[in-house]
Amino acid sequence: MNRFTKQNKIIHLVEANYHLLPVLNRFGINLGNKDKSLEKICAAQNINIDFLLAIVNTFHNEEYFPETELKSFSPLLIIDYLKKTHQHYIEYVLPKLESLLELLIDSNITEIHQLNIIEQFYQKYKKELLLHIKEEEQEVFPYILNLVNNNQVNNQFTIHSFEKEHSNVDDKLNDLKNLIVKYIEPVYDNNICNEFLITLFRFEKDIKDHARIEDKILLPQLITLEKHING
Amino acid sequence: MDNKVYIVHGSAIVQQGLSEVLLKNFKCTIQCYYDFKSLSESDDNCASKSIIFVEDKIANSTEFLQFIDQSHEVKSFSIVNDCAGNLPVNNDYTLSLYNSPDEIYEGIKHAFNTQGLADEESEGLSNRELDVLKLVALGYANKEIAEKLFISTHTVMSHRKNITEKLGIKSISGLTVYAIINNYIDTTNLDIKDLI
Ligand SMILES: [Fe+2]
Ligand SMILES: [Fe+2]
Repeated sequence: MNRFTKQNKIIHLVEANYHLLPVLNRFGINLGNKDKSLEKICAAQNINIDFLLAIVNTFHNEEYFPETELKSFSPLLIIDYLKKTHQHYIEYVLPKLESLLELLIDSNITEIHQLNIIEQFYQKYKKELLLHIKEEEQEVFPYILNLVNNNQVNNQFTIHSFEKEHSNVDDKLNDLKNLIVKYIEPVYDNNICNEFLITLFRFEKDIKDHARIEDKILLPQLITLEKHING
Repeated sequence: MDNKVYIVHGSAIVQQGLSEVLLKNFKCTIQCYYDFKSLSESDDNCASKSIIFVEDKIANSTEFLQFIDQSHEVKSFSIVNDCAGNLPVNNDYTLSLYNSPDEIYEGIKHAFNTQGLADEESEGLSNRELDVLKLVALGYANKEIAEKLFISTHTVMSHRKNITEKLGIKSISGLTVYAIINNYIDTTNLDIKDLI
């Protein structure tokens, strides 16, 4: 798979992979840039082009994950991107999933109520995800920011791995997909169901990419920083 | 998980006919060979749980008997031409060229179940796995399940692993949802919200 470069234009990126649209938005890039290259757009908006390219390329190509390069970027940049991603999930993706699920339930005219149980399951998933995000935003990220800005280590702070939590959240998303695709009675509007699943699949890919950055880049950075400060 | 099935038979008509009956009734992938030599020389590794259908004359050959001897998890069916008379000795099951599709289905189903492979309707959960699933869904821990069913915790864990593999559902809440929508547990006096 080709990598995107500074010379590429937005149209090249979105033509190759339209799932990159929200990723660009997370950097504050909107559409309507005429024929400007990424380099020009980033320069005008004061965006770190190398970081943008690294994120865009890893998102686009699952095989491509240059750990050393990614770890060389400031944790501040990474946290900013991760926060924007959380925001996108909370403000857009989850509400969209929910309203599609409501529509799906309403489209059922039979006496079979399996979808209501699916909704309970979805709510449980959402609750766990939001709790996880809250923990990152209120504890982990501020701690790292403090490490970077003030060189302050708190030896009480013990979060050095999210992988278990990430895989729990991941499992539930996988189960949601399986339950709908394989096990519940298809007593609903197919188009709405497809729409729901497509949104779910896209979200699954996005959040996996997100968790990978946290597990493989941000947390190793945290550990290095602590070691460095503790001498 | 896909069930692996091999058909080793000199007749293309038999290969086709049997494949059709299999695909109609079971989730499986089928690989056909005209003789045993091509199967043994293929890259296919049929050592793990799989089922082989073989022409009777191949089934009686020394090479094949040796092969079956060494591959413990493979079940074999020999396909006999009743008119020829030579019944094979060492095979698990026998199918006749003159069996009806229903008879073939029943015979195969029996073998698939004892093999622990998934049947289309039941997702292949054994009764024991179903017992474990119900208790998992009701929120019991492995140790409690072991005590209730008089089995070891280790066995409970291995049942759980199989359940997850067969159903494709990993989380406890997900298994609970599966048990509820299939009416495996009675939720009339329970709050579903707490359960999930
Ligand atoms: Fe996160
Ligand atoms: Fe996370």
